[in-house]
Amino acid sequence: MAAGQQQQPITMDTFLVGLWRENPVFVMLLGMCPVLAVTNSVANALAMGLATTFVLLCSTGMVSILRSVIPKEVRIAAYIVIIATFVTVVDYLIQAISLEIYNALGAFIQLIVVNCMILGRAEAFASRNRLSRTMVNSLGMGIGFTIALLCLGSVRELLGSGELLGYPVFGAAFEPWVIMLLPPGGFFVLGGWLLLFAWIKERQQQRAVRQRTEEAGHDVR
Amino acid sequence: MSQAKGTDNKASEANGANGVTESTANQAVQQPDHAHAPAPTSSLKLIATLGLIALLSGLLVVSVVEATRSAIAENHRIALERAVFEVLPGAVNRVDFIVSEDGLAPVRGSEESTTDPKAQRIHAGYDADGALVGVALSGSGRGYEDVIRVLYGFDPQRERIIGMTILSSRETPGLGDRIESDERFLASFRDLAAALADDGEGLAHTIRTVAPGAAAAPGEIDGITGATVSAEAVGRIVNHSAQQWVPRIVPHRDDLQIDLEEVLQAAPADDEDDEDDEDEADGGVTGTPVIEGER
Repeated sequence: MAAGQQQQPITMDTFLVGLWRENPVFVMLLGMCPVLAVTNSVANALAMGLATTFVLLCSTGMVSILRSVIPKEVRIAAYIVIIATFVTVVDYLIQAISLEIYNALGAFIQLIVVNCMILGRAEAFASRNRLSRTMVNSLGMGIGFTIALLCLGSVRELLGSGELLGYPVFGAAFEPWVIMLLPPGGFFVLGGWLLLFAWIKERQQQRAVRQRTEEAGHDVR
Repeated sequence: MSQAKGTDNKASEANGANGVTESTANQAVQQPDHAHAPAPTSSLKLIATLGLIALLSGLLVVSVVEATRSAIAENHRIALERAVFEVLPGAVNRVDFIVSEDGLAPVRGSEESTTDPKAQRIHAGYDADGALVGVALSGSGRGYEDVIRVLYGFDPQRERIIGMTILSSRETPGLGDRIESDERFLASFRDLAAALADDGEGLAHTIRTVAPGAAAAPGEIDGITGATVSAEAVGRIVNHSAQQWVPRIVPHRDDLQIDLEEVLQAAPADDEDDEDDEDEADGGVTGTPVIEGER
């Protein structure tokens, strides 16, 4: 099976799968801890998304390069060491870029290590695919993750503090819904988005079924 | 488990394309006892692979730490600088002082390395005319979620606190974090009595947070509705810190009246202070006397 996949070409789908069909947050529900914890503002969501994407790209790339060297017995340990290395790198880079972002993200940068989305990609994709294909897939997954974080972050910031990226959106009369910034707000907004996506999917399926039956009806007539 | 792995390896062998090194290595081991579960990869190889990966990781981390060290130190320095000028309204120049038993001594660049590690540093701010505005002192303690670190300005002549800012906190967003933004709470710190007690030990009045709008007695701070715990924690932290600092500074307050020109001229060029800012990570200390005009 591994050999079969290796021959697979890089298609648009390799990239897009992470954005929609296997979106790590909205479809696979992976890495929920940072998703719920740091998405109380757009800026935090963006920083977390980019940091995770960086770690994802670097570590799956490394896993893909080393996939034939790493013995099966210790592969998980090896993946975790690789992921932890890049998380430490990102931790220092963010400190060097902006202390404000670093303070806002707090412990969640270090916790990228245990984001199961990254370990999942390393195990399920990078360890079986060549470097270029892995990178394309990881980029798609990273962007999908970032978009999902932004979806949550923008709604929570808008409702929770009446601002978007720090700029006031509503007038002074707007009373912020503080709960949206607190952990329960994260669950509410995530639930809302999941509902929306499930609804869209269902409609797509229904339409497909209806089309098929209509075509079938035509044939009979 | 090993059974499963054996079949796994076989499968990849059969397919041929994946893991050439691995399958050839295993082939030799597997050949003799074909019928039984094949032997797993030798421990030596496992240790060697993990060791190699760990070694490379270590190298990468060390080089990144080295590469970002000066930028991080600079960020901490700028953050502290901003905070010092924020709690000392009107200050445009800053000189660090070493606090010791005999009084306060301004830090000149050359004394950097010779200072006693136990000596503590404070940051004094002077206005455009060279008159002392106050000193910036730091304190920290438990908040609602995590340690809160504060920096506050103290005017030793009037024995009052003249400003306060939160250096770091993880209080609840929207509730506890209003200690950083609540106008009435912060205003309490712009003119807060912190007089030295008559016996020279600690403050004449305890600094504490009371109910919102109830501050009347000296040393009382207006609390914040919905952020009671955090606001009280800040009051407690400032009190604890001032109880220790004020008796050490007020008796020596004349030492702070320095000829600003002279000290600033004694300061070396600013460009070397990237190297010696290591202890900044734990909060509060900077290198050479810094002359910063702009805020």
